[in-house]
Amino acid sequence: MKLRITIFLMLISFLEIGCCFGQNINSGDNYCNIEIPEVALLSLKSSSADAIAFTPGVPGEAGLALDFSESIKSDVWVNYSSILPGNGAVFRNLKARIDGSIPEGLMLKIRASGDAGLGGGHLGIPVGDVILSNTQQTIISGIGSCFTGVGIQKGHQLTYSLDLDENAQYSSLRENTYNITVLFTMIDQN
Amino acid sequence: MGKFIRLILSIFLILYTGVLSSSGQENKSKSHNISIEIPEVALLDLESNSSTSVSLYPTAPNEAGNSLDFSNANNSQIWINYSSIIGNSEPDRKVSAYVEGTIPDGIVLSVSASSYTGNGNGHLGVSRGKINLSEQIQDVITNIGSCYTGDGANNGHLLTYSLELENDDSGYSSLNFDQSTTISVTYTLSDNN
Repeated sequence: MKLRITIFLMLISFLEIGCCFGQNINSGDNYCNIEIPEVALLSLKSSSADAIAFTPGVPGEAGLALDFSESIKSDVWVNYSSILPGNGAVFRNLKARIDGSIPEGLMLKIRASGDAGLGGGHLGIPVGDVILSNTQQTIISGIGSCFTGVGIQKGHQLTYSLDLDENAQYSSLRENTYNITVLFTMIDQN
Repeated sequence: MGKFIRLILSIFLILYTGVLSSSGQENKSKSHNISIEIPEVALLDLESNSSTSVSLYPTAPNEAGNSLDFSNANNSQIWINYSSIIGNSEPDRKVSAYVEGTIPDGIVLSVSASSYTGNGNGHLGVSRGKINLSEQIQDVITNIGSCYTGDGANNGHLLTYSLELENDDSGYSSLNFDQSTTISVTYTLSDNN
């Protein structure tokens, strides 16, 4: 019997939620919870169907170096939706790190553009050039409650550039194909 | 019946809890792949401020009784440039040289590469010093890793050619003025294995 009462109460509360979604909140007899859910959604959109591949230019003349001047890719856009949690997080950061190894002698840089302005709220601020490594590093900071819009040309455009590491030796370059994964994570900043 | 309802309730609660715990947590992370291809490079070039044709000849004596003078029969006008990216399976590379054509009797044609100088970078090669050229391929520069010398004259290794008499006594007697000839020297950048 007790169980039946419990189920009955649950059904009533379920109907109340239903009424809330139905926008029927003008009646003085109804009370309605308004819950703002925490949101932290991240998505990557690419303007190209091809995977990102860097191949520095082979010199056309003996005596010249590999040419990295065109090793720049700006195909990927990052979209996000964020509602800050009520636990005191002041804002969020978008961090990036790589799985795998950058070929010795090279550095892979990432730079996020400013938000394209097609969303709303307190959007993040790019921190400029970041040399990617296996350690997580902030590339966009100060993300509040906001949304970027969905798709390419929305949110922040990511620009990758591959270059010689000025602190390393050209001698450490080795002919090979290297596959790496770039991992992005939104992290609360308290 | 009571058991059945409890089971249904439990499933409902588990599902509900699952939805709560995943909302806001999923999709906080995303990744994509990047490939980086370092191409193999092996390029060699001969550069000169003037010409890559070289004339070498001894000076005829002015005084009867003197010999041909080979002391000025040398030339330093050709630079060797190269670009190299090695792989893990190729430890290093070398530049080798051989001649096509016949070196006149009694004469030795040698080449010596200078140490590297110029606007390059990386693991540049080491000169093997003075090499007496022949139709057999011989190493001139070894231990070349991933590097580039810079392009043009004054970059890389300066080649010095010299003509000398053969050391043995028969050298001078073998000289024959009909044997003026043009020979070709070929340089090759190759894997050292």
